[in-house]
Amino acid sequence: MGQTAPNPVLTTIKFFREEYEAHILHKYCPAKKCKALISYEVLTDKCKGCGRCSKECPSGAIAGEKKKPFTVEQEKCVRCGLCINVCKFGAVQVLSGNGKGAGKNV
Amino acid sequence: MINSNKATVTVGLASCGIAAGAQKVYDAFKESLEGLSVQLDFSGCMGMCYKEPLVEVKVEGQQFIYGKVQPEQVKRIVEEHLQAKKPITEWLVAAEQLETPDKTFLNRQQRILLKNCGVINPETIESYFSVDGYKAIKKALKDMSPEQVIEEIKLSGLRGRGGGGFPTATKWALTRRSPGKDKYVICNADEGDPGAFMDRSVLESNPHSVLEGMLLAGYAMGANNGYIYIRAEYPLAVKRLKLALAEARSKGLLGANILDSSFSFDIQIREGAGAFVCGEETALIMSIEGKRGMPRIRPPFPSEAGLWGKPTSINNVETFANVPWIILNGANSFNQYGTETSKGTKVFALAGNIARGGLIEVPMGITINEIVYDIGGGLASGKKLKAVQTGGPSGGCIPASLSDTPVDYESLRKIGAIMGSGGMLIMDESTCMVDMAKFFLNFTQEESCGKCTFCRIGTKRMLEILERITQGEGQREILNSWRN
Repeated sequence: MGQTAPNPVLTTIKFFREEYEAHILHKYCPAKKCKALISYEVLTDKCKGCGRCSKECPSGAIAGEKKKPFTVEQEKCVRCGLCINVCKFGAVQVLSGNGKGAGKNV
Repeated sequence: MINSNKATVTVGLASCGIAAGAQKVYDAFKESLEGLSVQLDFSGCMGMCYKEPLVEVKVEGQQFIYGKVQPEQVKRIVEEHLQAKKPITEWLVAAEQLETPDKTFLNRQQRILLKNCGVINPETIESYFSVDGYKAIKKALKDMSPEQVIEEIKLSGLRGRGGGGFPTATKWALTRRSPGKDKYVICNADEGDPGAFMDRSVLESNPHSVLEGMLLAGYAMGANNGYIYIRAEYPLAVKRLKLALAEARSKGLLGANILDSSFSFDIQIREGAGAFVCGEETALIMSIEGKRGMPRIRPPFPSEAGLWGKPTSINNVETFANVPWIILNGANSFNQYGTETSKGTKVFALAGNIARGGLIEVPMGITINEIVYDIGGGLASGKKLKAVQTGGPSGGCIPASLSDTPVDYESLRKIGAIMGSGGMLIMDESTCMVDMAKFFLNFTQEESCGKCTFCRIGTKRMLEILERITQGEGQREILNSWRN
């Protein structure tokens, strides 16, 4: 087993090296899967201010006033993705980068 | 036995169907068909796992398959189709006269080994008899010497379906040649790759075909005892195997002097606790012997010193299931399929992000593209294909750019992947490849038995590196060390 265990790693490095480089050099996950390297954001033009995301958020990271766009507090956000699932207006999006400056807009 | 004049209803009752609620559908049919001249039966896995529960209705020799059948739909099927003879087209997934998108799922396949899976009742030996069951062992005992059986398998080009691809006939010949009276045949049913379910489906759908393959193996190498090493997480497969063993014994197909010949053979079941490493042959032998499941250095190979130190041949479920067909139909009917070095067909468990996931059997040499798009109907998410992982945690990933690679032992090895036992995971663009590698490594690290340093410590260190990378703490230097 020890002889074959590296195979998934070796083949992904061989064929998807740029994805490893994105993670290591640019602190960015192109597929938007690695929790430490993504952030969630409410789109102000799409948000109707219904407050659904805020109610569902398990870590109380989304706040705002009714009928006005809500905002995600990055320090509190655990990146569970629940807000995306409950938003009826498609107003929550995932960004590459951790929301603290690193890797944004790559 | 199924009477061909009578209308029949067959419900697929393998684990995949039962998980989707097929037992309730079966019970609903039982109730609705009371007093009607319709035969109700069940089978194993029909392969179209994405359409479970599946029900096959046969009226006047014509076959219709309904998919995603719910108990509430049963009454209408009975009234309209079985009584008024009007098939309910909108619920059908396949029928002889009907063009459905699901038809390409079946048409692009080449079903040899799965031919009777989802057709026969896996819990009665008569059902297996009705599809030429146990005729291969009869033929071998009557007309063939053990050497001739090995020669036929050699001609067929059959290679180990557990993933290694070692020529089956060579393994058998080595075991036959090893000195000693006591020899063993072991069936490796310790299917451990995440996402793989071929062996389970075959054992749940056609257990006798595996038993017959083991009988032929025993006859060929002069063994009198067989073991099936199966994981305890497969309770339905274990149950059906036990039933099959009991029925085979009562018909004189297992035990002393089989079919009045001088050949005696019996099979026992050993349930494993589901350790991944026990799929490795020497660890598997240890486990059967009641010891801790850890691999040992080879040589000596099991063909010289295996179970209890005696010559032993270990083959995979799928390998055994191929054997009766080859003996009955001849090596040349088998080796007409496949490529120069990879003969026959291969069963795959098509899973992951795929529109039509399920159990498929394809000729060797088919391309990944053909499997994903023609049979699998493309990706479930509708997004672009990113990669395909074959061979589970021991295998490699194939990028979409190489998806015209033919599926055979050599071509896959050339690009760093392996055939493996038959798990095929389809991934779309939303999959992070670093995360995927981490998933498999997490698995191997947990399953490492700890005997060898490189595996015990190496997998752990490798996993730590991947964890750092996915947490944004990967170090630049590591990229340079990968240049070589």
